[in-house]
Amino acid sequence: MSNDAADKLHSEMRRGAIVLGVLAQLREEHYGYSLRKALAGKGLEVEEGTLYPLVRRLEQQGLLESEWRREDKRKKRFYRLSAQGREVYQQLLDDWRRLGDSIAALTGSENDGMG
Amino acid sequence: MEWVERYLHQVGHYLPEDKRAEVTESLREAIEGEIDGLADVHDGRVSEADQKTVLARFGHPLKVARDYHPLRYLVGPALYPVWWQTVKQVAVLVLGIQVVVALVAGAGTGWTVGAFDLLGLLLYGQFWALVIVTGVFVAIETSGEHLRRFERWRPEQLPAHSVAPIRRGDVLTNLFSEGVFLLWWNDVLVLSRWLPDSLPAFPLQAGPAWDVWFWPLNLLFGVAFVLHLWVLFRGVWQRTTLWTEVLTCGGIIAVALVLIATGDLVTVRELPSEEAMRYLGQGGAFAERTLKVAIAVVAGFTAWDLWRAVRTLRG
Repeated sequence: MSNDAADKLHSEMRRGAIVLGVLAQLREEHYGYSLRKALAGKGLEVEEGTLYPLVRRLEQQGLLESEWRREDKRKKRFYRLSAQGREVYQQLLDDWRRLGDSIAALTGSENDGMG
Repeated sequence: MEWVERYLHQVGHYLPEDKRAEVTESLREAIEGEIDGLADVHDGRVSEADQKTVLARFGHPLKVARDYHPLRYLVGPALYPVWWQTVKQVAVLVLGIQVVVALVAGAGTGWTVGAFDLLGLLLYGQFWALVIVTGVFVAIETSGEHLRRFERWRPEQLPAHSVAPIRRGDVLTNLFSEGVFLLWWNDVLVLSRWLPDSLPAFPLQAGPAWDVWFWPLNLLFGVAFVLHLWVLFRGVWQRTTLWTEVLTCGGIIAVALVLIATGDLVTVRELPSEEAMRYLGQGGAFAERTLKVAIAVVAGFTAWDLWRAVRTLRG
């Protein structure tokens, strides 16, 4: 398979994972930079050009709440899960675990890191 | 931070006015957060290079504006196959309508058209068909509605007794030839229109042998034209259409063989000088032989279509 095709499939696979990762991390309050650093610290590197539009989209969908606060002499926008976001996060997490079990059964591998 | 301001101005340029302020503010916060993070690494100092590094990581302003604004398609991926199929079907329909209208106009009013003008008219019709179909689908896409035809589809809608998919190029070629022939045969398409008026009348003309074939050829080629329009629309050969193809091809080959065996396909007009008549007589005989060769070639191609239709029927 060419590199381009593999890269496309890889991106498609990551897209859903990033959404779940962002929702998981925003169970605690973060602003943009701290969110990206926290995700990177747990092994999920997300580019700025991907993360910030995603966060905005999730907020527009009602899954996140935000507020502006002044911290360290600068205005920062802090995000956290909304009530609807918490419900959707739990549903997605359950789906993810079920998918993980199916993939493990299909590939004959253990379900490491998926539950 | 000058670089950040320049970047935000450019992103704002690509955003609609009602979203510009809000998105720019969010983006400024995000970029400044990233720059502060880099500054922490460099003991709190923010350099021009740091600003450019962060902006390069965010990417081209148009890409950022696109990512902050909902994705919009002219005709999206869900509608695209339906749009393309509709364009092809409407093109076939418009072509059929144009030929029929031209024949009716020619028969009713004596209207005629030259080859290049005919091509221009056909392209004009196809252009507007494409514009209208695309406009309708852009409206559907913009409205957020989705065509339900895929959800409503049932296996019963498959063409009955379909035998084989068509070869689109072959059917289009036949359609073109039949359309041009019908228009020319009924004196709507005048191929000599491009010749200057100052030239004298062409001394050779169709002979009396053609008279009896006017309506039979109209019928045969008319049925073939409608048949090929229909199969192009459906996309498959069915048993009935294949049998119709066999019959029309057989009819055309039979007429061609009769014409080849007949004389008087070409006659010479009366000319003033005897010498001119003698040379024209030789020219007329040559033209008649050439015409019979051309008819034989048409019969050959038609025989090929006939053989393929029979082979498809037999599977």
